[in-house]
Amino acid sequence: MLLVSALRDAAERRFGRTWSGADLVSYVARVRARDPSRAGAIDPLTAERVLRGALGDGEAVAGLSSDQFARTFVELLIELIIDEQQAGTGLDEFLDRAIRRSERYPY
Amino acid sequence: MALAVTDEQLATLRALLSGEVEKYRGLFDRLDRRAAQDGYTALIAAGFFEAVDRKFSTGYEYADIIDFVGRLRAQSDAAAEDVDPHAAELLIRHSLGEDVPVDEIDTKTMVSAQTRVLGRVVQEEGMSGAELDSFLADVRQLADNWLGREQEQ
Repeated sequence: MLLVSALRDAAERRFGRTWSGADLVSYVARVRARDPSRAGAIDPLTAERVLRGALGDGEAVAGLSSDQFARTFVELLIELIIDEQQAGTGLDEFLDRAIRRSERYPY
Repeated sequence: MALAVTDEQLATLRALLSGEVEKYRGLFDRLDRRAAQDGYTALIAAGFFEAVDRKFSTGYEYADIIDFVGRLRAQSDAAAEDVDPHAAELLIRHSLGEDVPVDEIDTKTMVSAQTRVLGRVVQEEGMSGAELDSFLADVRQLADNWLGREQEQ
């Protein structure tokens, strides 16, 4: 629950409320190009679907195997945390926000 | 009769690459389907090969290919839908001589990716009409060479 909150929180901060498909495509490409040695670990179509799911499109992740979802979820969360740290947000602050969110929104 | 690209097939591709969508649709609908299966497909493949060579042969890293395919797919929802990014990256790398697996990419996925990559390179190069004609002349020659070799086998 905390990890899901963390991804949703980070995705919303990264993309805002008026995101487009192109934003997600560009972001996933940028993440994969940033470290090509790990590009194979992130399937771009799955990553775009997981991000859509994190941004509220629940249908986007339908049909993904739990393994596909989990692997991609972790990779994206790592990248979004890296982005936030580069923008000056510490890991503690990131986790505090995720905890508060998970307490606020029961699933 | 020797297999070769027809003027109609070339005109169809030229309309597509020039952004003349309605003209392209009209020409495409009138193509002889059996002939197009060989000629038009070879033309797309040759165009893709030439475009990739033009874009990347002077030096590239894998990140450049990822970035290019990302830009291509981000230009529209249709492009994002049409282009399988994994397949597109593999096809580009294969075209550049890398030993990557492309045999399992189905024809529809391959042709979609090849067409879109070709279109994006032409767009990014900002080719004039004359430059596009020159490019397509080279592409046609390559496609005809491939078709001729295929027929000999």
